[in-house]
Amino acid sequence: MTRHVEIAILGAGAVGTSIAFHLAQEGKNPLVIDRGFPGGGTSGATAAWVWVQTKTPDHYAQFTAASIDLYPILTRRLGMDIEYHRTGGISVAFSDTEIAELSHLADQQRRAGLPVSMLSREDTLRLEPALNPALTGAMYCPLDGNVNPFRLVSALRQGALAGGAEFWTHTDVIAIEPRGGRYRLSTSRGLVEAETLVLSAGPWSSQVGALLGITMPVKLSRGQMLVTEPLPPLVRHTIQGLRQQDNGEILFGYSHEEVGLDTRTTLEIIHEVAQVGVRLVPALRHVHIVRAFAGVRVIPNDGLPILGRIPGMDGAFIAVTHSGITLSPIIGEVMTELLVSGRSSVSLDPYAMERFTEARS
Amino acid sequence: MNTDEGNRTGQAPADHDPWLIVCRCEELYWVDIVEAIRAGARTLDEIKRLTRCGMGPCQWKGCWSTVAAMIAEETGVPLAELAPPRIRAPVRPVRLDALLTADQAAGLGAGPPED
Repeated sequence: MTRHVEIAILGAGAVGTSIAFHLAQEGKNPLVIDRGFPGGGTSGATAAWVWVQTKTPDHYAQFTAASIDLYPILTRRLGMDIEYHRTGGISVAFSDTEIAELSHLADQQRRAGLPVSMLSREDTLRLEPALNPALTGAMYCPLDGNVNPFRLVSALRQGALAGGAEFWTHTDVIAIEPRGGRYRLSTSRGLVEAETLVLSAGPWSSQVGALLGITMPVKLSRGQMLVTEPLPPLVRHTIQGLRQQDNGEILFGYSHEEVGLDTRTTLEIIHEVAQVGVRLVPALRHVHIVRAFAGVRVIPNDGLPILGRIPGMDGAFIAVTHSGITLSPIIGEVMTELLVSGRSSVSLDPYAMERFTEARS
Repeated sequence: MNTDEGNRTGQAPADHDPWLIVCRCEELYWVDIVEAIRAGARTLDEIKRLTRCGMGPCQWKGCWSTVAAMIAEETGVPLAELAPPRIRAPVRPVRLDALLTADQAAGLGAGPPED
C-alpha cells in the first residue's frame, strides 16, 4: 500500500523539524522521515550557540540576525522551555594582531547593521571576570546566545506532531523515483508518494541526494568538545569556544577535521580542546571533565546555506546548512512560505542551489 | 525495591514503581524513561538525548542495564539485540589539568611500543 502525502521532509534535525513545525502551523500535515530519532545527528552533538557576530558576508549576517530575532517568538509559540538565552557573545583576543583582525571585522559588521562593539581588556574582564587576564580585548555582540538543542528539537517535534505532522522515525529511504510530477519513495517502512519533497538531512544529504542523482556541494567537518561536571555559575556570556549550560556544565572547544561521518573522539584533539578551555577560562584547570563528544557538521562548499528549490526537479526543495541551530527559526519560516505560497518574504537568492555549477549531474 | 538487583541481572524491577529513581545523576524516574520510549526512542542514546539519562557523571554506568531492560520490555526487542550506549573517554571524570599536556598522555596515546 502506498502512502500519499502532500509534503515529505527527509531529515529530522533542527532544520527539518523546524520546517515541519512551521508547516503544521500553516495547516499542512507533512510526513517527516528520519533514519533515527529526531535530533540524533548533528543537532544532538553541537555547542548550540545562537551566534551571529562572526558571520559574513553582510547578507548572511543579516539573515542570521533575523533568525536570532525570531528565537524569542519561536520559544513562545513552542510553549516549552528550550533554555534559550540571549547572553551576549564575546570573541576574545590574545594579541594585538587578533585585536586588529577583530576590529576590522567589527567595522564590517557594524556596516552590515549588527550591534557589535570592541571591548578593552578591562571592560572585557569586568563583563566576564572568569576570562583569562592575559587577554588583550574582545569583540562583543548582544544578539549572541545559546539554546538547549535537545529541548529545541524535542519541542519542535512535539509542536509539529500537535499541529498534524507525522514522523516516521528509524526509517531508511532506499530509493526515490520522480514519477508523474510526484516523488515515489521506497522506505524501510513502506512506499510513500509525495507531491513535494524537502531534503533536510544535514551531513547525510549527500546520501539522500545520490538517490535523486544529485551531487551535493558540501563538505563534512567533525567537531570535538569537552563537557565539565556541573559547576556553580562561572561564565555568563557565550564565549566563542565556551559556554555554561543551565545545569552548570561548561561545554567548550571547537575543532575542524574532514573525516567523513566518523564521530569518534580522539586524544590529540581532546588535548587541544583542553588547552583552548584553560586559555579562555583558567579556573577550568581544576574542574572535572565528564565527557568528550563529537559531531559532524555539514558545510556547503562556499560556507553559505543552501535553501530553496532543487534545480531541474519540480517539487523538490532543499534546506542544508551549517549553523542549523542558529538558523532553524528563520529556515522554518521562509521554507514554509516558499512551500505554501511559492515565494518567501526574505530573498533566498544568495542561498539558491543554482550557484553551484557542479550541483547537477 | 532493589535497583541494584535490576542492574546486576538486566531485569526490570517487577512492580514498576513509577517513582523509582532510574538515573541518580540526573534524578530521573521510571516514568521519565517510559515516556521517552513511548515517544519513540528506541536506543539508549536516543533516550539520553530526550531525558539526559546517562549524561551525568556516571555516564550510564549506574543505569544502563536498567534502561536497556525497560526498552526490551516496552518494545519487545530482545535485550541481546539492543546496541550499547556510545562509550567515550574519559570513562570516569578526570581533572582537566590531566588532559592538558601531550607528555602526560603519551603513554595512552602512543599505543603499543614498536620493535
